[in-house]
Amino acid sequence: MSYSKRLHRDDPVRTGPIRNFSGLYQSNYSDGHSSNSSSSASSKNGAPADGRERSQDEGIGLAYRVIEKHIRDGKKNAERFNDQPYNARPITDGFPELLERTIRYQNELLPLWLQALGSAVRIDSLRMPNTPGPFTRPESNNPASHGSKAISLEIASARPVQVSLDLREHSEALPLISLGLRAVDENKPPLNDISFAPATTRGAIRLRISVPDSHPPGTYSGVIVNRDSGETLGTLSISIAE
Amino acid sequence: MTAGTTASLVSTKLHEYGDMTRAALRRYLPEREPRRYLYDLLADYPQRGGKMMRPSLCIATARLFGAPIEQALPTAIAIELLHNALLIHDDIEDGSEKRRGRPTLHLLHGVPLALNAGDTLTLMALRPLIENRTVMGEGVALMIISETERMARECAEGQAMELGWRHYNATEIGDAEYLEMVLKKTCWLATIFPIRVGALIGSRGVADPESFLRFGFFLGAAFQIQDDLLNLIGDERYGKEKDGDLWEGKRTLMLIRALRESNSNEHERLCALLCRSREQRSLEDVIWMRWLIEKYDGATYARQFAQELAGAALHEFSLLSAGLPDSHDKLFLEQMATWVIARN
Repeated sequence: MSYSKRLHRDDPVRTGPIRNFSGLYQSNYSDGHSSNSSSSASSKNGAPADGRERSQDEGIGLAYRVIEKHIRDGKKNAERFNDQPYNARPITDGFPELLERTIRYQNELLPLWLQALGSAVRIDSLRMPNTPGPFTRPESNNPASHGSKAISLEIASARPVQVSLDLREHSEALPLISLGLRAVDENKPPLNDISFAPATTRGAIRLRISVPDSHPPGTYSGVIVNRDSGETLGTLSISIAE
Repeated sequence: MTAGTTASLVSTKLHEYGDMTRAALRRYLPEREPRRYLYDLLADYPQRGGKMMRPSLCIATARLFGAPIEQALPTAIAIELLHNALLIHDDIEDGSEKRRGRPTLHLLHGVPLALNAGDTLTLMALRPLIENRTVMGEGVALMIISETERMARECAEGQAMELGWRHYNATEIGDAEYLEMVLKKTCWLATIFPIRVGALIGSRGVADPESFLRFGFFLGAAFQIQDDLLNLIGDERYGKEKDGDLWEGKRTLMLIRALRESNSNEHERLCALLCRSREQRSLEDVIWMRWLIEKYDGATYARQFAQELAGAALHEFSLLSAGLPDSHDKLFLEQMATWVIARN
């Protein structure tokens, strides 16, 4: 029996399973947005040159580089689709701006332009949510906007509706009436149960809309006029869900 | 925080929001003829269950900003419909055999009918997105549709990258390319899109969706790497075909590492195997590919990568949510980062 040198293995690097998940989040990449870490130590395809060991900085740095490039590419693509500046600027006292605004207000009041301008205003509000528009535009389920415009909405409907109201400034004090709301489809009956009533406090008005249960779904639009003079003061549009 | 509490809150929320979405989704699946050839097929994948991670992320993010669930539900339904539609197409393109524990739709009904069902399901997702007009107003509804268009484009690009790699047998792929493919193919629909539209709903269009890209990417990439790992080492709870990625020649992080680290003989053999179609690949080939991945610690490497990404997701979420009040939804979104790498 030979007594050759006893076989000896190196001590293991670890002696138990790695279960410290919480330790994973105590990494040292507090400035996670820096995306140039360890590039010199990496191979051409983003992996470490030795392939075996990789510090956390390398993996995260690589991931940040990928997402930052994606964001840059996204911006470039967006510019390709839309390179028109929105020209959002503060309102000044200059005459050209005042003239431009006056013309725009007048145009928006013309019933003939209602549909087209309505779309334009909606697109503007989508792009620049904080830009004040010429008209109030309260939505049916946004109580905050109702209060600020001194108009309250009372809607009687079993189905979801969306109300879009464009009203000339300072019209609240005038006697308002709706001439009825019609759909583009002439087969659909008009929506007539609409009334304006003076509110009890501070001169605010109440807009009451009643949608019959059997009324066909769709969008109904019409003008709001001064009951005494017949002058058009705004538009009202209601979309009734199915 | 323990793994148990994480799993508990996440799975509670996934069940809660998932059940709501599933129940509301039924309204959009017609029960009329031709049922056998179309509408039964549409309902198949949604009825098989699933984690419901995508709609839950959307609802939770909307609620994080204070929106009621009802406002997020139509978009959550659209997300789930789109997800199931893409699964049908993915299964055909990948030649997959199992989905959520059962045979894939095209194996049950043939490719033409499955393809038609996938197309129809995609278009069905438009209905709840249109109905957002009445729930959210036209402005926000348009923003969500615009986000959907972006997501669809990113997904198609990512899917094209992966299919192209396999079709043309790309073997010089690095981790960066893999991450870019995952960002587009997986993250946009799985995490980025639900979170971005959830934020738009919750903030009524005021939140900048770009802020949510990083969190969504890190969360989604960690999710995908864990999914790839489960395909390799998962047990019977994993609903897809075991080793399916190897049979399909998918360029996972583990396979990319094996390509990178292997010696010249191994590299040559691996490239030759990857060049073959699924039908030409034998069980011995797949076993050898598994052995090669194990030889170069592919699973450990991928697991570590996923853990790092989960950590980055936590970091990004802490930056995003710093000014928002504490809530169950905030906790849920935070804990998703841990859940995606701990699930099995």
